[in-house]
Amino acid sequence: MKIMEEIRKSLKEIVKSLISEKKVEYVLGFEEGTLPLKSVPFYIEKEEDIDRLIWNEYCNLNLVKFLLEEPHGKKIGIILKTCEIRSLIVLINEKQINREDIIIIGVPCSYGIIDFNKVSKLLGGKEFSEFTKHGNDYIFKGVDFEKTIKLQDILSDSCVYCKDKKPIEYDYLVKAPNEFKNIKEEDFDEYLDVIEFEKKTPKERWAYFKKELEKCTLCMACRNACPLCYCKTCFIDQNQPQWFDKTDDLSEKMLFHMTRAIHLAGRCTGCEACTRACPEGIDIHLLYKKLRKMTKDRWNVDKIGLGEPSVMGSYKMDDPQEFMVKED
Amino acid sequence: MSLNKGENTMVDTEKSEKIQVMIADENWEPKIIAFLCNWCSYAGADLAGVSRIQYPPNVRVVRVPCSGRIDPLFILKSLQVGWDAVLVSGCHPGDCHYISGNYYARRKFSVLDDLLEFIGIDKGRVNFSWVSAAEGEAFAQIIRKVTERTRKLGPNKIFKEER
Repeated sequence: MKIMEEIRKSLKEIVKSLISEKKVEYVLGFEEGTLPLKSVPFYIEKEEDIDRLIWNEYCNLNLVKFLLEEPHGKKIGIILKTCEIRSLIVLINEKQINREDIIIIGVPCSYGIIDFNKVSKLLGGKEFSEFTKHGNDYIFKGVDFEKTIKLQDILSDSCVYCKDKKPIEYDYLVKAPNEFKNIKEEDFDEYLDVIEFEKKTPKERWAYFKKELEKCTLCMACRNACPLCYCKTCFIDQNQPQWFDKTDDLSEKMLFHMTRAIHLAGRCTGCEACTRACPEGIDIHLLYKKLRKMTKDRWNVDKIGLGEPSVMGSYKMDDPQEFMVKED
Repeated sequence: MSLNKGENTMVDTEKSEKIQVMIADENWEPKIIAFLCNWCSYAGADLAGVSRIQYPPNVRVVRVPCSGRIDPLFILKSLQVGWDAVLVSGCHPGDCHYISGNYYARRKFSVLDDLLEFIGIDKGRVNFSWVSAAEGEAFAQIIRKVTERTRKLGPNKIFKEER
C-alpha cells in the first residue's frame, strides 16, 4: 500500500532526527523477520540502521513490553499505535515507566494488523513460503497450494471492532495522508462480538470456553506477550502457597485464564497481543473484551487516560451491588 | 453412578436426570465454604450461635481480616478443589473496620461474578453478602438461602469433574 510507504518515510525522518540529535539512546521499532510476513522488534541505535525500519500490517507485537526491561532514566523512543499507547499509559499510571523517559512516536492505525492464527486456520495449517498482495487481497503460496485471502478475514479481532484509530498521547505524530477508517464501513457497536456471545445459553457459552481452553498447553505465551503482565513472580509460578499443580488438567487452565483475566480487569486496553501470540490459536480475546465492556457498563469507565485512577484501585460509594445475596 | 466427561457441566435449569439419581444415590449434602470478615460477618455468625438460631450445618467458615482480603483466586481455587459453593461476607458498605476495604472488594466481586456468568457457570455457585455483627438472624437466613440454592444446583462438577 502506498500509504504505508508514506508513513514509513515520515517515520524514518522522525527517527533520524531523534538519533542524530541524540535525544534518545535508541528507538524501538520493527524490522523484517527471516520468514515472509514476519516482523521482529528492532532497536535502532545508529543512523545507518534506519533503512531497515519497516511499518506495515504485520508489525503485530506490542512493543511496550520491551520498555519494562529498561532502567528508569534511560531515554527511549518508541513507535506505537493507539491501543499500544493506551497500554503504555496504564504502565505510566502504575508507576512502572516514567513518562519523561519515553518519546512516543504515534502512528494512526490503518485497517489494523494481521492475526496469523487466522491465516493458518484459513490455510488449513499449511505453511506458506511466499506472499504477494493486490490491494486488499493477499495471495499465499506454499509448496503445493496457492490461496487468495481477503484482508478483512485475517485482521485481528481487536482491529475489526476498533474505533480508536487516532493516537491519544504522543510526542511526535506521523501524519497519515487520509483519515483512516475501520474496515467495517457502516456504523457498528464496538462490543458487538461480546453482545452476540452473551445471547447464547450458559451451556453453549461453557461449551465454547471448554473447547477453546482445552487446547491450552499453559505455555505462558499470552502472559509473556502482554505488556500489563509484569509481576516479578506470577501467581502461577508461586510455590508458597502453590496455587497450581503442574498438570494438564482443564481446571488448571480455567483457573489460570480466569485469574489472569481478573488481574487485567480495568487495565486491559485491547491490543490483543495475547490472542495473536497464542501458538494454539485459542480465541481468548472474548474474556478480556467482556471485562472492558463490563467496566464501561458498571462503573462508566471506558478507557483510562493519563493520570486517571485505576478502575480496581478506586471506588464509588454507590457502586451497583445487585448481585449481593440478601436475607428474605 | 459415574458421569460422562463433557456432559452436564453447569446448567441449573436443565439439570440432567443423572445428577438427580446421583444425589439420591449418595445422600449428597452440599458443602459450602464461607469467607467471613473478622469484624462483622464472623461476629454475626457468632451472634447466631450464641442466640441459638438454627441454620444448616453445611457451611465451613474461614475467618479473614476483611472482605478486601479475599483474592478472587481463593474463590476460584475453592471451586476447583470441589467445594459446592462459596460464600463471601463482609461489613455493610460504610461500616468497614479498615474504612474502605469492602468498597474495593465489591468491585472485585462484581468482576468475578460477571466473568463466571459469562463463561457459563451458573449463578449461585459464588455468593456475596453483607452481614453486620448485630445480624445473627440475617446470617442464618443467608446460610439457609445459599444452602437451598446449592442443593438445587447439585454437586459441583465445574472443575472437579476434570480432576
